[in-house]
Amino acid sequence: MTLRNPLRYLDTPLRRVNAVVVTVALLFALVYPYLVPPPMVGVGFVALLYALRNFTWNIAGGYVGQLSLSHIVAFGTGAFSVAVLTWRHEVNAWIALVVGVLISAVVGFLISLLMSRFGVNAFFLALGTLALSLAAAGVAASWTFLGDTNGISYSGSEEGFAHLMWYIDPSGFYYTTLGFLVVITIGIAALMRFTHFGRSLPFIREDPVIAASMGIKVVRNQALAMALSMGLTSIAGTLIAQYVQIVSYESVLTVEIGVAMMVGSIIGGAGTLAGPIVAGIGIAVLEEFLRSFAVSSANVSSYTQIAYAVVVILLLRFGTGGIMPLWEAGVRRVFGTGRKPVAPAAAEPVGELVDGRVG
Amino acid sequence: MSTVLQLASTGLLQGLIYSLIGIGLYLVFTVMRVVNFAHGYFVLIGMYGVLSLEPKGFFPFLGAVVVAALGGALVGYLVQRLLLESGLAKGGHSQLVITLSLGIAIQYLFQVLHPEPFETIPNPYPFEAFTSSGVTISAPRMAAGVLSLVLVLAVSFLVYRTRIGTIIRGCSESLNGAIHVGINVRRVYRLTFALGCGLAAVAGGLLLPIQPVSPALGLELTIKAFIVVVIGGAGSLWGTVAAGVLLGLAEALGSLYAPGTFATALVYGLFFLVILVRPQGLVVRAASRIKPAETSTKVGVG
Repeated sequence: MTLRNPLRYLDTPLRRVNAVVVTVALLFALVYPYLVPPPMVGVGFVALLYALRNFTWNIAGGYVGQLSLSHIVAFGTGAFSVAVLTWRHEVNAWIALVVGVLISAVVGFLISLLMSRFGVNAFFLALGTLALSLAAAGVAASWTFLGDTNGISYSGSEEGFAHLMWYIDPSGFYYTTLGFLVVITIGIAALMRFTHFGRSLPFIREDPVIAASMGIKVVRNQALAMALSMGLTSIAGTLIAQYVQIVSYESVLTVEIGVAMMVGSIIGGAGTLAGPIVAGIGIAVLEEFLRSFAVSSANVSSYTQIAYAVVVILLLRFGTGGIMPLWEAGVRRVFGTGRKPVAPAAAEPVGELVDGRVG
Repeated sequence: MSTVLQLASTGLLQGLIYSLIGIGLYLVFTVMRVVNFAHGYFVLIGMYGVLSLEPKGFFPFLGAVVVAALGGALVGYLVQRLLLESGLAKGGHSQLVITLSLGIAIQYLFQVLHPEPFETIPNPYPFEAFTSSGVTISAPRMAAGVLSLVLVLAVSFLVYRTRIGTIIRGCSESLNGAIHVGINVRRVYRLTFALGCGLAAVAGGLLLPIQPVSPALGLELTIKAFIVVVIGGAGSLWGTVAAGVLLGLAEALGSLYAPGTFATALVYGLFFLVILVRPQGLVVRAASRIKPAETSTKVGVG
């Protein structure tokens, strides 16, 4: 692949508009900590963390269509690995992060292989992985190694990037998360565009049977995507653990976290690159906005959960694919497609019911 | 020995309630190929429904259970009609996320309405407890088990012995065939979904005097119902009933050796073991073994 003029990618109005938006957003993200007081930098960190966690869920959940809730286990593994290794045994936090990634990836690989015994059935995958997460929470709640019901608190004194810890100023966490998000986004975009493995993933989602008949190793690629997805989700768990400095089964192994990842990706647009990031940041801003009303904090989380649920139900009920498809359609309407008009494809027949397994 | 006997009988009666919850999910799953993630939350609707009616005495309690069941069935009917039906043609993902989100919405709605966890009602039955050879069983538990068994038998009569049941089974076995003989599939789906949700709500009402209700319970019950259906296998309603009893027994006897949360984890571990060894479920009807593999042909309706 020779390196040609990179601007040749900007051949449609949509791509040009997106390039401008991404550049502006990145520049804003870089200067954001200098514009606002430290508590708001914390909010920015949480927003980026939501974006990161949605994005990594989307690799398996959006691109491959594996609606998994085992990412809760990955998130928890990341948090508990830093709690057990770094806080208890003073291993470097980065090593703990890598350990968490590896454990989560192995768990993801195995759970995907195990659930593939049901064939490609989204319901079984979702409920099986949910059972796994509840089992993990049960184990963490009754095992002193994982802090049982008390949780594990931070103990340490080092600070700085080498120790992945900042006490007063959260901008260290902010920039680290931003760095992870940018690197992972570019990496996954390249993977999806340039590799055979990456390109096979949406194919598997759309039609696993035809994908298999074309020689794609469906079960293996699903398991690898799940491993990649869960491994990267673990990074988000490590970062939040270092930030809040306490880890317990109630804080990192709850179903709400898994649902938030799933719902965030779907609101943004499952299987799109930018959707989960946009939705993650949007949800964090919305939560902060709700918190500014004088509602008790317990009710804030209840109302936000109800609001997510209602938004997702409406999105799915009325058949829109989330924020990103709406955005793309809007930009195309305003700026035109930049392509020659083609004859419209025949409308799909409506009112079909699929016999056989759901899939 | 009497501890084991005590736990076994408690587990058996608890298992019958799981069977009742499970067959609601089983019906919806086998007929529509949709797993209702909100199923456990319909049990919650039954529990909170009875709780808010505050029944005093036996007959008001039974009345409250019936009202809660009708309420659950009505909500189920509306959910199927307004939210799920239009997406059935598109395959599984949208129903999955819709029912999951619906469950979350119901959970947090109850969280706002009833912030107190572990609410319950006093024993509504006219007797206190049964004691026999060292085993004591409280009246609500006994009554819930027996009534669950009666309802399970009634549902199996409905499914296997009546015309409606034949139609439901027809839709389950061959959607194409059902359409060709002129069955109104949409109506059958709505009724089946309402029936499944109604059964869940009844189970909730019966469960309330035994198990204090919190909004978080819905998820646990959804998972248990799902485990019951998977372990029972898609072949027969009786597999689901047997799996429910098995789950109840495993849970009760597991608590003998492991503390509370760990016993739950143990149940999930067993579940993974079962799907590793027998992903088709423990009970498979003889006929389904010789049936040719299902095809996924598409048919137009309506």
